[in-house]
Amino acid sequence: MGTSGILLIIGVAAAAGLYAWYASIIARRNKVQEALSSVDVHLNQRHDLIPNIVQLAARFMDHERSLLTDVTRLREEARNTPATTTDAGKRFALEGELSQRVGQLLGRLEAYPELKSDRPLIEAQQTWTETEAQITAARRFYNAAVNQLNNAVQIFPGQLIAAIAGVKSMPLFEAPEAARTAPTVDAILGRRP
Amino acid sequence: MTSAPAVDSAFLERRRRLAFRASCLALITAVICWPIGMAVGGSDSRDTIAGAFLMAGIVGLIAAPWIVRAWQSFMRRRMLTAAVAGRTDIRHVDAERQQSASQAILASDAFALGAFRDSGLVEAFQTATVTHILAGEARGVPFGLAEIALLDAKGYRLFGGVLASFRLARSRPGLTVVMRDRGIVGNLLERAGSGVERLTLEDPAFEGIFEVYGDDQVAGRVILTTTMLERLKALDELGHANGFACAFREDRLLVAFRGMAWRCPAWRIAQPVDRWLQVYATWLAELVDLPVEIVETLNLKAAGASELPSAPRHRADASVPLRGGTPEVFSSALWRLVGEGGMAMIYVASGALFGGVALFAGHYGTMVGFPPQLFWYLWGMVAAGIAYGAYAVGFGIRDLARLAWRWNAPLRTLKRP
Repeated sequence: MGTSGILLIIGVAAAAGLYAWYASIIARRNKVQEALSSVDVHLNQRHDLIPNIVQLAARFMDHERSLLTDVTRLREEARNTPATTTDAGKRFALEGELSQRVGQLLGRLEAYPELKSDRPLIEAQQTWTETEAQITAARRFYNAAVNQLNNAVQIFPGQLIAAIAGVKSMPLFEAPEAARTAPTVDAILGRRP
Repeated sequence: MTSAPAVDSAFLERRRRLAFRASCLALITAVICWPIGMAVGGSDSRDTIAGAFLMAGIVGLIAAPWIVRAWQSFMRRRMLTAAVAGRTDIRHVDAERQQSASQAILASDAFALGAFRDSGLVEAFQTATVTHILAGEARGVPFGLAEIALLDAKGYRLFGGVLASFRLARSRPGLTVVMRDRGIVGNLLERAGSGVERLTLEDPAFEGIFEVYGDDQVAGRVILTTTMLERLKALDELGHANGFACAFREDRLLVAFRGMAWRCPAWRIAQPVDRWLQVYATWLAELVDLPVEIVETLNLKAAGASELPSAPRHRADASVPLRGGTPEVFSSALWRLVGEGGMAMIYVASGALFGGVALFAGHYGTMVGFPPQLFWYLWGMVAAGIAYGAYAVGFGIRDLARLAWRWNAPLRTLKRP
């Protein structure tokens, strides 16, 4: 076998390797999109719960009006932010803030004894908890998919292939800054320091 | 803390001695009678005597291991009964003797043997041979633990070991299977062609021990929270649970311990019970505690706890025909290999032989040439031989490949939903 034969074999092998890499990047990008749409489905499920919780809480929590308004406003903003691969970071930040505010709202419910026995509110709280668990799982799925995509895109020659394919690294979902600090009792119960 | 159950060791020692002597006698009979039979024969008048000796030798050869096995079964029955004595949370059913009771437990809420069929833990089986069952309730969670052999339609053993089933508080969508990590190639082969995907999880230590597969990426992660990963690792550190594989399917946690046997080792028959009975009794007592430990380690919730509406509950088909006692000798993996792969190997050998001869003859015909009067006849034979060889080798390889594909591959053979 001559030099040209060896070069041909090396060329074919390199082309096959590059194609396999390209295919894996595309497959991983599609997986991220699947994960993102899964997160979106569960986030929408959570959005659908919020009006009900706000409505139930508003019956008793008139002086928490600003919190209730915040929750409603954040929900609208989050709903209007598309869950695309380009806006994922912004959407996650909004959702994180929304989750935190609803968490505060549910925490403050503890201060209202009459609410503790309100059956519809208890059910709404349970559904909220369940939905949060599913969102957490969906985010973990998203993060796992993004991690695999980013590895394929960032490791050489992944950058070149990804640039040709038009695929970029994706942001991981990270907890908002406020969620990383331990909440104080005053913050949960809405007391002034 | 687990303590060994109280047993009448003097009685057990007497049984051991009796069994040991009987098995030795049977073995000695085999060892002595066989050469005598071979030596005595040779003439018409002596052949009958020789035949009797040979027959005695065969009987002795079969009886010796059978006696040891019967003693092992006796010990297991006695010790399991002693281990659960006085406990209200768990009961022991001797399936070899109480077939209707064992059938009822395996089809009950506590177990539902049929749920294992599509769990990805065991291959799709047709019948089961159960020897002993432990059933009960821990923290309100009904459970069942069975020493079992699962058989296919031809009677070959697909799984031998212990299966455990726990009825959970609520039904969950999808199937999530936690198996042992088998390395990159092993894991790829494990799920090749199956309808499940790999779930990558955050814990590197967990990922080093287990591989997780599921048909729903989100539902799998709802179950396998980071806390649950820690619990599964803790469960793997329990003596009896080491090496387990499990599946979450609908409202059940299904656990498989492949290869686990509750019998004491056969060679113990040669040792006085005082030397090892305590160890065996403690081992069984820990085994009896295993389901409770699983419930506590995994923090399983009691059925009937207040829960939200969940996925629709589908009752697994519980109608698995049961056979009592130990599986037949010819059902083991070796016999399965011989039974299912033997014919295929014969095809390959026959095809290789005839095809090889035909190729050789063809080569000869090409290089040297056949006599003109036999030209068409011999070339016809060569063509037929090559065609047969190719067909037989291909047919045999196809059957062997099919067998290899199904061999110990519950995930690969998992039916798609």
